[in-house]
This record gives sequence, structure tokens and C-alpha cells, in this order.
Amino acid sequence: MKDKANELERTLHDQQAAELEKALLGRLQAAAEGTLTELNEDEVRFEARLRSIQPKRLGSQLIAALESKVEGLPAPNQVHILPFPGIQAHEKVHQTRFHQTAPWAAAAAAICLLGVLTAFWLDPLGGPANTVGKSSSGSNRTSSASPPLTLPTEFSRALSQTQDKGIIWPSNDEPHRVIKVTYTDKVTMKREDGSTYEVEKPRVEYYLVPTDSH
Amino acid sequence: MDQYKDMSSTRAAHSTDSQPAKDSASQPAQSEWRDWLSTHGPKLLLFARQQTRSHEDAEDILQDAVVKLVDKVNSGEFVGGSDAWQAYLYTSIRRLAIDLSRRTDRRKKREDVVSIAAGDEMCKDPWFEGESTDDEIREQLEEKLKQLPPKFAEVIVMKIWGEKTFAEIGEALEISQNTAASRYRYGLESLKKSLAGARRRGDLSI
Repeated sequence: MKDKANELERTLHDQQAAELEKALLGRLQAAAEGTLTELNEDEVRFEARLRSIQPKRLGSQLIAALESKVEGLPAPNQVHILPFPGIQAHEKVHQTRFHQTAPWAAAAAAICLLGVLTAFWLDPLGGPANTVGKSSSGSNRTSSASPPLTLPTEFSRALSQTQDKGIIWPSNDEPHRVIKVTYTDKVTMKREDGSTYEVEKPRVEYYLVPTDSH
Repeated sequence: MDQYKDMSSTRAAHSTDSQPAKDSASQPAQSEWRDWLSTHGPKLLLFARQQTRSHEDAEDILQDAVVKLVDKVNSGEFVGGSDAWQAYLYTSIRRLAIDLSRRTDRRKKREDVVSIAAGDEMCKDPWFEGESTDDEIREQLEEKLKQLPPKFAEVIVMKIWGEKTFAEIGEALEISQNTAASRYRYGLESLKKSLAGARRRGDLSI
């Protein structure tokens, strides 16, 4: 019995694992090199050949049925601005329902808070703040050079653009949608001598909004 | 924010226009929807066909997915712009297909029916467009795609005809983009081999 077991063990030991298929080896190598998502020439050619075979067109009945389903919704080509969650192109202002637009309210509140905090954090360029002793009408001019003692007198922020940059999984547990918001901050600075200048600065903020990607 | 508010007011004012203006505004939207559906509908339906067992089921879940999208957009729950609609539809179609197969208890029976009537199904509701000379290519491709394990076929369909990136595919299928790429390349290799077998037999020119 023991001899048979030993013989069996020797037979099994002599067996060698099969070599990896060339294609699998190639994919493993690509994974190790970080090039798994890059197709080789053969794959690109084959892909192009398959793509030339078009999916069957939708039947007229199905198109009509789908059109009836999307009635009232602006077609994708007409929507040029990415709204905050909860805001639609055709929504009337007086019909806003807070409990259903809470994500929008949260996003807007976050941006307002950031704007207020930024206004407090914005330091005069190059030195401490000074009280302007006498009022003098300085000329307004826009200049890239900043004198040592200045005070901000005006601040404005304009929202330029919002973009949906897709979904990420920062912790692999919960998907977050990345919203890119572009502003233009404009600050009017006043020097000691009363002259003013404006500073414009683009500003980009990224917001991670927890989302259900389905 | 002021700039955004002005735009919102403008859109709100437009929505209260008189009926004829509203009708004229809706007509261009309908034709644009038709254009969008004509362009993207076939790709979505192909994906639905790959996910289901019949043409009728595929059409049903495509319509259901569109309804879900419209409901989400109209209720304000949809996060993202119109650029994200396609991705949502792919994900919806897949989930609805999974729900459908779990809900009905006819999978085994359906497989038996399909295996018997596969030829009839292919001729009646082909997956691909084809001129008469390309019918064999279309049929072979459809057959080989059906024979592929679903997790490879769905990635191939989304990548080649859906024109999605690996990242978008990963997001829709809840896998990493590397897994999507790996499945795609493996599936492509398998498809190529099986079609090459058909080519050797003289069945097609792909």
C-alpha cells in the first residue's frame, strides 16, 4: 500500500505544469508592465474589421416607442450646460422641491461656503493690511505688478463651467462622481496711495459627490 | 453663480411661452431624439441582445432602461449631464437583464427552445446589418459571439460597437479597467480563433 502511494507520488511529481499559452503570457506581461489596456496592431486591425460590421438598425416601431418614452426630455444635443444635481433645463424656479434637490442644495451650499472662506483667506499681496487714512480717488488700472501695502476692496466670483469628469472609486467601496467647477475670481486691490488694480485668477475646484452609479 | 441663475431664469421664462412656441420648440427636440436613437440605439440594442436570450426581451429591457433614465433625469436624481446617459443605459440594461433572468424561471426551457430554433431566431432578428453577400459573416459573427462566455462577449460588444473605453466598461460592469481590458483581449483572441476556423472552412472572409 505504501509502495503504491510512493509510486503514485513519484508519478505525479514527474508531471510538469503546462506552459502558459502565448496569448495569456502576453497578457500577463502586459499587466506587469502596465500596458494591459493598450492593444497591439493585430488586435487593432481585427477590432476595426469587426467594427465595420454594423449592429442592426432599430425598427421604426421600436424607435417610435422609445421616442414616446423620452417625450419632454431635451435631446442630448440641446443640453450644453451641465446643471447641478436637481436642476433641469425646463424646471421652473417656483417649482423647486427642496427635499428632492437636496444634492443640489448641498453642492451650492458647499460652493458658497468655499467662496466665503476664500474671501477671508485671500491675503493682500506682499504685505500686511493697512488702514487707508484719507480718501483719495486713485485711478483704476489693471496691473500685474503689486505694491507692498494693499487692501482688497472688492471680490467677485463668476462660475465659468461645470463638467462631469466621471466616476471614481477612491476607496474601492463607494463610487464618487467627480465634478469639475471652474470659476474666475476677481479681486480689486487698493494701494496706500488710493490707486487700485484688479487681479483675475482662474480657479478650478473638484468635488467628489458620493453617487450610486446605477 | 449669478451667471448660472440668469440662465436658469431664461430657461424658466422660455418654458412659459405660449403653446405654439412650445410646440415648435418640441419638434426639433423630437427629430434630434430620433437622430440620437438612430445613432446609439443599435449599439444599445446589440448590447441588450447579448445580455438576453431573445430579441423581444432585448427590446423590452432597452425600453425599460430608457424609462428609468427619463424618470431619474426628470426627478432630479440623475447626477451628471447628457454625456453620462449612455453609460447609465448600458449599466441599466445589464442590471435589467440580470433581473429578468432571475425573475423568470424559464432559463433552462428557454435554452432548449433557443438551441432548437437558433437558426430561425438568427434569420428573423439578426444582430447585425448585412447585405446579402455578407449574410454569412453576420451569421458567423453572431453565432461566435453567442458561444463566447457572457463576461467576454459583453466587454467586446461594449468596446467595439458601443465604443466605450475600458474605464467606462469597468464602471458599467463594476470591474476594474484592467479586468475589462483582460477580458476584452481574451475574448477577442477567442473570437478570432473561432472565426479563423470558419475562414479555413471557407465560410467567411473576415
